[in-house]
Amino acid sequence: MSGPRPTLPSAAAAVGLLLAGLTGCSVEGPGSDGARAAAVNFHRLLTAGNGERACRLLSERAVEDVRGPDDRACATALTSLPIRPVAAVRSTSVYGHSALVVFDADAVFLASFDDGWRVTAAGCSPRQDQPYDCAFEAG
Amino acid sequence: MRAHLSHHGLSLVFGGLMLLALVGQALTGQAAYNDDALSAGLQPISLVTYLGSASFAADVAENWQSEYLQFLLYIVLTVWLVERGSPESKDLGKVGLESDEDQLVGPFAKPESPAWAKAAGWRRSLYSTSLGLVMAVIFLACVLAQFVAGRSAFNEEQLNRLEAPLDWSQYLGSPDFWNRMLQNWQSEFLAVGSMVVLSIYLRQRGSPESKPVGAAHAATGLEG
Repeated sequence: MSGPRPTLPSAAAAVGLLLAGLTGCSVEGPGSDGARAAAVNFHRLLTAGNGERACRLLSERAVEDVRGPDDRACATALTSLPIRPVAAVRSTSVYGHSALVVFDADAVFLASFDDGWRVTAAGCSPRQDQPYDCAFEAG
Repeated sequence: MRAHLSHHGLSLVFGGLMLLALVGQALTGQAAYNDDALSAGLQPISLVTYLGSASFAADVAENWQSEYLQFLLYIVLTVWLVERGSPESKDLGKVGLESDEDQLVGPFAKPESPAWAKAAGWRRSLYSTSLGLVMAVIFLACVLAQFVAGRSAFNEEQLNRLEAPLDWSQYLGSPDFWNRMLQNWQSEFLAVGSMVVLSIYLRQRGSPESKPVGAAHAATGLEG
């Protein structure tokens, strides 16, 4: 076909820009330290029984789920959930604005907001071919 | 200046249309991304952030790779395959690489021929396949870009659904990767196939993509 085609120099430059852009936006690099630190801090506060400060690390939707239909106080409700204490981080995955921090005894999902990483789900256990089963989640 | 512009009307118009469509894609893509984010209780992102996102890169790359594949296949297959009556095909008797005389290379090159067409050895061989090679390189680069960005965008959605991210090999075998690929390929193959066949019987006066209006349906390789 002798129809219009992209000019080769501009097409090559565009592909180059596209590839260059990918390096900064995709894998487990940028943001993984912040996500891991937020998840570790969340568990540290829970272990210390400081539900009030732990609640401040949750996303708005997660707080709603923790409080439940009875609209309980977040701190009280959070510390009563079956979230096991953790000892070590196994892995951290960050993709775009979402993250998963897997501990030895828990998995924590997070999302980034203007003021940093916030927990969207915790007390999570993997299930075969299904989403994680979590003690609370920002549904 | 005006004459210069008019001599490059096709590349300028298509370059401009491509940029306008890309801007439209960016704006509507950001709106769609933010709709999903807000409904999931997540934070919307700015246009600049969206332009650097894997979601945008994957959407762009998946379309680009299929376009370059379309032209790559067309360039290479039309060397060996012909279609009786189609202006997209060369003459039925010219299947293959054709003679040096037909291709104006080596001793048959003209004074105005490109230098590497006059040259012997690897330079002539390389130049003789340079269009297909460059199309192939751009196609493969776009596939790589789609794979890397597509996995990242898919895994972001996985995390939002409280599902585990996929590693490289899992994503290579995933329906998401192949569905993105094949839904673009089928449309490209359909468009090219339609062009080959419809141009046998239909005409567009003045277009080099069509035979002359009065040309016979059986006439092959004619361009208007």
